Amino acid sequence: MIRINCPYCGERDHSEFSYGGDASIKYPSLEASEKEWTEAIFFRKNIRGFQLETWHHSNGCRMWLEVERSTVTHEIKSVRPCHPDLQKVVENNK
Amino acid sequence: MKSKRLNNLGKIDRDKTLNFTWDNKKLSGFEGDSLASALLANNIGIVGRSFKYHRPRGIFSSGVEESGALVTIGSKDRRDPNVRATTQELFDGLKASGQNAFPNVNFDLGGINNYIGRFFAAGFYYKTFMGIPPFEWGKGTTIWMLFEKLIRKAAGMGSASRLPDPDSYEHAHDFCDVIVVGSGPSGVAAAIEAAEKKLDVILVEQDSLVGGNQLSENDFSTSEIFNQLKSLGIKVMTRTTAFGLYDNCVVGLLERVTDHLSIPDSTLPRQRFWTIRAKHIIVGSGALERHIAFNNNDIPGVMTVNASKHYLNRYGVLTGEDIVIATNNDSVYETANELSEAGANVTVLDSRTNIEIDSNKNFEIRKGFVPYNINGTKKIDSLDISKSENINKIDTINCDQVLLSGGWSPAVHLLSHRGVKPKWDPENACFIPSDTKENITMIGSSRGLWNKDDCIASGVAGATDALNRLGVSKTNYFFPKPGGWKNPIKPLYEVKYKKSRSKSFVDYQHDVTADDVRLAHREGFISVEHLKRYTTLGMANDQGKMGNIIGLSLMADLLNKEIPEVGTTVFRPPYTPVPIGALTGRNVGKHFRPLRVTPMHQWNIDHGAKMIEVGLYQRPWYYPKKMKHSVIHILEKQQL
Repeated sequence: MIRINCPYCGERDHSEFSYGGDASIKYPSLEASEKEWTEAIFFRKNIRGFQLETWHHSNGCRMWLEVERSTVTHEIKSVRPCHPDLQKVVENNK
Repeated sequence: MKSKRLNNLGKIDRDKTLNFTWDNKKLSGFEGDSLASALLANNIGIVGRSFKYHRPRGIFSSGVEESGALVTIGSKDRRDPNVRATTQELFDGLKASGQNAFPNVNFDLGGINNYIGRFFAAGFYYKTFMGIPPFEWGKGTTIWMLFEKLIRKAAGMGSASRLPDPDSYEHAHDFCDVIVVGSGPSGVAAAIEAAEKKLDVILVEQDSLVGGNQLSENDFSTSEIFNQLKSLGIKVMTRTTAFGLYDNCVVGLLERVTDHLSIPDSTLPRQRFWTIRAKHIIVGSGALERHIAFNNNDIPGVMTVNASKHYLNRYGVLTGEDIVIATNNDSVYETANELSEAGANVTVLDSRTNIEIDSNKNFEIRKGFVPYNINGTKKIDSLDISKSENINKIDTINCDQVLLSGGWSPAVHLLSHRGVKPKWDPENACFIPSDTKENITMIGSSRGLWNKDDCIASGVAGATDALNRLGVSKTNYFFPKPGGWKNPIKPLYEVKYKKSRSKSFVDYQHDVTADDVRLAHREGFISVEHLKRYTTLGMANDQGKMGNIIGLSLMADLLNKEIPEVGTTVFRPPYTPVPIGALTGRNVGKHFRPLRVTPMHQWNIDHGAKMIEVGLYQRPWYYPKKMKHSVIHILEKQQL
């Protein structure tokens, strides 16, 4: 079972979270070409090793998290809130 | 086999007699017995029939690796098939019966399979019934479907009850700093070391008593250790098996809460399925003794050496009168001594020649000898022996029991669940665990340590490793190196006697013989995974706990490779079978999924509606009023 250390709630089972997909995607501007948008929406790298992904603590604090997780061992390197302001709040509360 | 109960020895309570039935025969045992030890005390040799050939089978071991004494416990809706008699505790009123036999295990009509056995080589069913010549034009599957039913009936194990399970099961969760699996010398040492450093420790033991293999020692007191562990605040969970390790130090446990009670408390669940979230896992799961493959090595009366010691010192049962011990390592000599002191006539065949053994010579040691054939069908009459270099008949020993020890295999199963491949240790002829980055430490004989002091040292080292990784302390530690016998082990997996068509069993569970492995090689199934699926080596209840290494070594021999080059199959959870009921827990009946109700739900029920499921909701399907069929109703109304 994957255990995710939510910065607000503490370490919880992955069953409390929902997977949100690749966190490294930067969406292009609205004026960007069709090709750029296609790539941003559909093309994903099949990474072996650590990848950045988003998880939603849907049965908890409902915060969106950025999780750095290994696809081979499920080892988690870092967890932080997606929203930069929330990140500051969490850091200040430490 | 002539096994009997002794008046001394054992950790049983001779004042408390327990009555039980075996195949409708009334027998008795004592408090503290396992079903297997009680059967042995009553001199019952045949307890089962084998999977394919329906050969009579006895008790091979004293633990979870058992593949012979699989019995059915209970009756009606509580009928539980394929229970290992060796791990089932005896209770008053226990009903046990043999399985895979008609009419019973002593006389089984299916035994005919043994004589036509050469038609049942590996892959026989698929080769034959997938397409019988006149019908084979593309209709193989149809033919197979037809025959499959018959085959399933003839080859198999016990059958489960078709009635709903009357017992309840529970899911439970717990957290801890360190979980220690196994309460042998190393596990106890690790748990104590960690608890003294103020860590929250859970100790898991699959047996009813704490002690691991020390329970087979005469002067061992389990209650002393149990009290010491308790006084340190360690949570000791007995009758609990750690069946699997999962990501992020999550351990799955199965606790058998009432399986050992004759009248269980109705408020208790039968079993509990635990999910433990730990910070560090220490595994001291011990090692399993292997047998040796040679002709008729499955006749009732064959057992592993350590099992015999276990029955002697834990249950006060002497498993034979004239005992031959065949070995290739040092671990058997203490047992030989104790058996002969208990009154048995013991001969040790050691396949090695240049060895030094200090013993008080109560028994005969024949160096350089190996067994190659057992004479007898339902019991052992005699054993043919030979020099280990050139297999030729030298002598026949009259005996009623043959104890085997082909070396020990560390139980690396739990680490294997995490995808860590074990590495081959040629010096000790076994697979030993590799290191892992995860917070898992292997200790004791599951690291390949055969010496008790080494095991204790490794337990302390394992706990120190845990403390270091959890950042509690920074202490140097080292693990003793694998091994610990005075004389090195000499690999001995199969004794092949060329002149006979032999049934030398590699894996007792599914009747896999050495010839089956050779057939698989001839037909090109040389990868370990193919070998497993083609011959069913290492499948079913015991998952190849005893026979896997022998099968691998035979394949390595045929391929002229070393065992590590052939590889090892990956062990997957569970370590021992987990009932579906325990996995389901309370989620049965109306708790299987929630019922959502609409505001009109009750009105519909009140008006006698037949409901139909719509997702989680129910809505009325129809109202079976005393109304006539609607067509007739209309016809009548219209007066047509």
